[in-house]
Amino acid sequence: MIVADRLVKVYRDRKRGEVRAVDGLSFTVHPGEIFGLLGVNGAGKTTTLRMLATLLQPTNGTAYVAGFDVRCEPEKVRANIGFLSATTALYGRLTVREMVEYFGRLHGLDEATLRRRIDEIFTTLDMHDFAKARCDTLSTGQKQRTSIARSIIHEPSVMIFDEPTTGLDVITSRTIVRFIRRCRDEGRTVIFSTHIMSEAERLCDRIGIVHAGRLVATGTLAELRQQTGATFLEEVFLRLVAPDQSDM
Amino acid sequence: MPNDLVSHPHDVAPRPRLRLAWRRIWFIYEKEMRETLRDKRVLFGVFISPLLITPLLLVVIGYSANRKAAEEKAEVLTIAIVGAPAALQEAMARTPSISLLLVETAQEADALIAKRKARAALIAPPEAEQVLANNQTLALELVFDPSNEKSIAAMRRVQEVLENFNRVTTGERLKRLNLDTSLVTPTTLTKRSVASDKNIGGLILGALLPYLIVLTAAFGGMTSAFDLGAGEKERGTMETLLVSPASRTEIILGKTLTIMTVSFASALFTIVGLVGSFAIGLSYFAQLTQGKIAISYTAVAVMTLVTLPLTLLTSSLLMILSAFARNQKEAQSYSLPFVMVVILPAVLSLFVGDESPLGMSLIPLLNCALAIKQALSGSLTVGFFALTFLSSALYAILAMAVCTALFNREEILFRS
Repeated sequence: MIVADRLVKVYRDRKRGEVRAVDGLSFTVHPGEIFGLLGVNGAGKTTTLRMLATLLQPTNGTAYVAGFDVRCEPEKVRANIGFLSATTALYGRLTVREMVEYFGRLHGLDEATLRRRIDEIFTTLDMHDFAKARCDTLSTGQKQRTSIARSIIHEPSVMIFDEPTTGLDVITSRTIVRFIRRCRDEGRTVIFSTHIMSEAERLCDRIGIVHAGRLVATGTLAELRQQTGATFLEEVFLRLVAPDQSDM
Repeated sequence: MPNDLVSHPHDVAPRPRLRLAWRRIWFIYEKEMRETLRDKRVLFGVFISPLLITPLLLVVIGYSANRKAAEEKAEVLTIAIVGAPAALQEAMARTPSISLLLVETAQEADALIAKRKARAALIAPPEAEQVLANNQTLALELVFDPSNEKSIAAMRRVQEVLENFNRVTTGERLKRLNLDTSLVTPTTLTKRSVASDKNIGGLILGALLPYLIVLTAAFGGMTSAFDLGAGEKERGTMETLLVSPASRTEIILGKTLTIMTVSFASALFTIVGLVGSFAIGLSYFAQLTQGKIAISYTAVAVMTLVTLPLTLLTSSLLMILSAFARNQKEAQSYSLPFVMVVILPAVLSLFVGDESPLGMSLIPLLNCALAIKQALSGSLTVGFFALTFLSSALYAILAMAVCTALFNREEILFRS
């Protein structure tokens, strides 16, 4: 479960001065649910997810991930999350197996459990053929599957996806989308950010629309449609964040 | 999870307790070493360069220097002579490395030197023969070009001939007067060295090794350091690692230990490469040490012990640069002041004698170079070694603390 409680992140920028990248975000994501943060570039989605993953510390407010406070127990939070984004890369000089083993060991898995988990995941994701290949020789699809394996090796109860399909081709994107759905079906708590409307429409059980660091609306697609009177998510989004740009 | 989480804003976060998991540090170190050993740039810098290229470079330099010296020695140099007495001309003609060119005037001799047809000129007054015959002192003038190496060499050869001529002529004059040469030679001097084999070899190695060890300890790990910090940021793998349960302190420790290992190996292989070249008796090295070379076990132990805190210090400094930089290119541009900071004490160590004051054991980098120098020449004191080791370890720990503090600051880690 994820509970964000008035999360605030303020940066100090030399040119722009004080920037409130995230400004009082509160939401809850339940196990077995996919919650999507939808917003334009720079809306504060990545900063929010980075605070949930303890990469950044909130300036104010806090969040509880898998029952642990991101401010007080960051290591326990990280032990219970799987984080996947377009920027989380692989170690080029390690083989696929070494890469997954490394993160399994960092998560404290014993050797027997690690071997069993690798075998299960490699079978599920059809990775045995390239398990001994170095990561810098992999295709984009193989890299993405390796990243998935890395993110779930420790069976996390919470999955955080930060624009995971950005820059990927259609086939590789489908692999990710299927994986996100499977995480939900396995009862994990899933939060993911995107600026692609169709992806949010297809995947999310609930959507939070983020604009200028604030959560301007949250609910199921049906609830958002009802709230705005629009049919398509794109129109819903525009009516909420830029009413002058919508067709209303 | 508390039920009242909404009612309490969290203005100040409690500091997470620092408890290091050494097992995780080991996993990070092991993985970084594995990747590092697969990096051809590092392999070249750590193994190939110190073991092959450094000795090879020294051999080539030595060979070239020897060859040049031999060629200079073998070359016959032309000396212009103006009115020198016959006995002196004969003495010069007997010297195989000199050929004589008789000219009429001093101006003519000057012109020949300017055109480099003669390398030096010996000018005697017209009454030279008479002066010698009268047992008087003949005032000669030696003309040469101090900007020309060959002219300087010619001048020295003429001086040697003249010294010999003077000795012989003085002997003859004294003999004619029934006097012994001891009359004009109140003392003679024989030099005897008390230096042992170890000292001689140590002095020569002592000049080179400390300099090279400080340089390789600092620069040997540079490629790895920039790869492990700025490189990871650039490639996006840093974020992957930061979302693992490993704390930032554990990550930085694992990475710095890797850089330290690479730097240490680099310094070690430099020692092996250089000492090995002496030991197997490559001709140039044998000539340098006059066939005598010995390094005591104490010197080896001192070199190893001193290199440990030295490499930890340089690795931490490199990691600070690497953690601060956004990418490898930026890290390289930041490295210039670091290079200067390292080169200055390394070069200084070449000039400071091995009996340096105790206070120098507190100057970072220079202290290590001097301790190694003293160990090699057999003059290291326990006090100097202890202070060097302890102060270097302290500086290394301080640098490590700064590095860890920087790595824990998100505005440094996520600079954009």
